[in-house]
Amino acid sequence: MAVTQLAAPPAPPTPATKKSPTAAPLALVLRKVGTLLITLFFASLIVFFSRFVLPGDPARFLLRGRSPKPEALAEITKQFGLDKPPIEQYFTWIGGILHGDWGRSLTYRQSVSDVLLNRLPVTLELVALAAVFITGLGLIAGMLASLNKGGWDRFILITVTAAGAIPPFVAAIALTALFAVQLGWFPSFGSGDEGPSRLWHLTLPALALGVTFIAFMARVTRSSMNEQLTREHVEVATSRGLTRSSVVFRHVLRNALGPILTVSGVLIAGLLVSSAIVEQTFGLTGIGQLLVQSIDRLDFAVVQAIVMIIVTAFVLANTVVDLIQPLIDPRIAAGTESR
Amino acid sequence: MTLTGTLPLLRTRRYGSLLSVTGWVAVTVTLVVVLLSLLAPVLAPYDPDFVDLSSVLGGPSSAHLLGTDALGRDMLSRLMFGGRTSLVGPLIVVAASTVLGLLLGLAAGWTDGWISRILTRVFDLLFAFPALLLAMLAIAIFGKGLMAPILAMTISYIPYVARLTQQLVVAERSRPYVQAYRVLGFRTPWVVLGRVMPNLVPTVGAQSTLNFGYVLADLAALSFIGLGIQPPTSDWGAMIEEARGALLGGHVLPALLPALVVVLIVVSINVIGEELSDRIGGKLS
Repeated sequence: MAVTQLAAPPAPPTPATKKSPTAAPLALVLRKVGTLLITLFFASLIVFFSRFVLPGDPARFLLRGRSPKPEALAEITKQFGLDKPPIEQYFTWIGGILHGDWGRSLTYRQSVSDVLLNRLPVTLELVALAAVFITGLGLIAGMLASLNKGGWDRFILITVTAAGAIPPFVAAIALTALFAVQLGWFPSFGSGDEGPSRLWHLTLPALALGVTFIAFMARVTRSSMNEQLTREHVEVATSRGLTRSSVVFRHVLRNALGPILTVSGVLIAGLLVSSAIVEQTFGLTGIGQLLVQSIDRLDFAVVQAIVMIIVTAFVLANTVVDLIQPLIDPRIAAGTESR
Repeated sequence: MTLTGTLPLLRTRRYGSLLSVTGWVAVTVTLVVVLLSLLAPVLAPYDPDFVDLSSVLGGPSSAHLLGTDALGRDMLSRLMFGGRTSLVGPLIVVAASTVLGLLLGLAAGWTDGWISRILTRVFDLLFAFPALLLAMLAIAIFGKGLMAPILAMTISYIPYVARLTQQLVVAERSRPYVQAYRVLGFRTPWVVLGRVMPNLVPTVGAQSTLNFGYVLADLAALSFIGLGIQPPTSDWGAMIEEARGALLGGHVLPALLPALVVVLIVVSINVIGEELSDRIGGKLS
């Protein structure tokens, strides 16, 4: 399955990769993991060597926006090993990352991994809550539309098409205007304390983050269910006198799950990127806001680390989805298409 | 060449026209927004940067049709001028990624050897970087503004165009007309660029239209979080950011208007793009 981008159109599948008809599960896993590692390796090359496209003194680049004293320049040269050849710098960097040493933040004057660990919980909670909204609301809306032809279907489809075009930052503004300013139901800023307060603070951001994806999920669910509903096995199940809920949940929804799962893997990884914008808007202290601030404060080590984390999550999510697919639909593992 | 390639599409069996009513509404909205932005220097009632502290946060009135922002600047004029900066970025990205994607896709689809394999791998790798993330990395290196995100997003969107082109070319290669040109001894570049490419332009164009909406939203988002176009330059994303203070104070209009324009244009572009690809897809199958 091709890696697709969150808001962008689904990438057409690679024409070249044809599954061999007798791919054993283990071989499939190994090949997927191999592709994952190769992709991550090249991604790390891009992230690391990106700063070499700028000519000039690398130490001065890393200390942009600051007034570098000679000792600071010497320190940064030593810390990044700037006096060594680029290849060696890369291996030091990637080796450090694999060992949990992510370098030092210029802004925070502490190790990048400490800064990240402080920030990670809020982002994970935000993404998790958004994922709950997406799966919950998206599935329900999609199922409602699919099972109620006519007025409901049209209404949901139109709503969902409009909602799908609302970028997260616009959703953030609209939700703030309505629910925080006009109605005063939710706070407009900050991540609150642990527990219920956190949930209350994260509701609007999670909705803003999720709105595009709720719409997307609803559309995929609707079309996937619609396709299943026309299948013979559903007709057979209905004519055998099974209850409607049994038909819907055991026969339609279960078979419709494949495309839904593919989409959700990509979506959840994509949420990490959009969370940068939503966290910045709502003043949440997660890694997304840290990314924006670090770009603003020219703290390049932190930027590199967060970009690498998000790319890893993105690629990993796609691999996991690829590996779970055969468990849901064994025909994929057998190499035959599911339709 | 392009013209003859697209002309048959202007009529389809069912509707007798390329787009549905909704589609034409979307086209009209897009054209109005584009024209208002293009003609901003002529039509705008005020200088978009003219600060008038005596009419701060005024509602819509005969003097200011859409009210004024926190610095008393005319909203309508700022929206019109903002359109220029907000639309030119996506335009460059879509134009560049379409041309480069087409060429790379043709190369990847037409050849069988290592060129095709390497290009396919490169496309796969680029898919691992969400466009917005690559844009942020580029801003971290080249600095804030429009240049870095335009560069990064062009690179990000090339594989979307290229992979689609590659698939279409692979299908096209085995078509009889291509075989015929080959047998007749026409040179490959002439066949590929002159005869095959025009057949791909409509489908790729529909995809690029959709891309325009996504790029516009992403660039506006970057300006909104302060990494793209910098104030006081009027840009829809930057305008929303500037109006956040007023929003929290209960003045909704200065933030909501540019947000509305962004949604309006993105919805319109999506409708156009999807209708185009539906029509063309229907025709091909």
